[in-house]
Amino acid sequence: MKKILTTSGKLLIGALIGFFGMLALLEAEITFDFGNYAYPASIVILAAAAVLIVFSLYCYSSIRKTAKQDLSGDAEDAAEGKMYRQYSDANLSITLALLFGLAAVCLALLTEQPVWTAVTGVVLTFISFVVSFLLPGLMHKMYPERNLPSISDKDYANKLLESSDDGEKHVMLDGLYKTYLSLNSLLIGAIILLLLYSMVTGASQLFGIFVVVAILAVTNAQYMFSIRNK
Amino acid sequence: MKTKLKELRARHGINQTELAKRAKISRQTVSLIEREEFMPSLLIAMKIARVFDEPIEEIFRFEEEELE
Repeated sequence: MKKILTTSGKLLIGALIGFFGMLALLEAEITFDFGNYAYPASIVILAAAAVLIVFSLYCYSSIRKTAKQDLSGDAEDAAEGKMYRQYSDANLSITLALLFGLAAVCLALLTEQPVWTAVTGVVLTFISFVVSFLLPGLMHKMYPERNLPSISDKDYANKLLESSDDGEKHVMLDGLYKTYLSLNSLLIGAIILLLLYSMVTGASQLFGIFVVVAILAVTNAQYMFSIRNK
Repeated sequence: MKTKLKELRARHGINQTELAKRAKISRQTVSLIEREEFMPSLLIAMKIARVFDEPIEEIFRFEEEELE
């Protein structure tokens, strides 16, 4: 009972803050012109993408070097652990670089930035795309004794999942479930943010809101059907 | 569940990577089991037991409450 009251109290406070916050935002005439910030933002995003690509390539080369070493005992375990972490870091970096590259291209095209920013964005996105296809090949160097699928195999992702053992699947499940939960909350937050932005600036973000709603509907249906039909 | 895996490895003088290769599992799984963060499937427990030529119950021990 006490817990219900505490939760109700928090909800009430949240609703009041939201209501008065919204009133204040609607009263204030806020205009936000992306054009003023687009050029420096493009430079920062492009630089971040370039740094992430370089970092990913550094990890790639470091893993190849470590995989060639002939080690034994605890040093072998430490090297294996290091390669595993670097492989994860490289994958995260290249995914972020790909997203930043795309964001830079969108920014350049939508805010009429100099052509070189759009071209650099396309080049960085392309490089990220190529590197993201090179990285899975490292797994054959890291685990030569394992029967892992090749990136060119049809249905690569499913074959890779099948070749993972229970411990690896346990780690993946933990990470994916947390991601699924946070993705739902973040996208609902994004809808609220887009709604507030539309109301405050008068620039309708309705298309974006519908796209986010569609993504939420599809991903949730996909998850629910996959567990329901088991 | 408690495990004597680390102790057994030390006794046989093999590292996690070597155990993983011999049991045909990943080193990550060996590490998770040793840290008692993952309860292995019967198949993985059997594979590990075979490497050390020990019965499963000698490597993995359950508390009485866990079995009730």
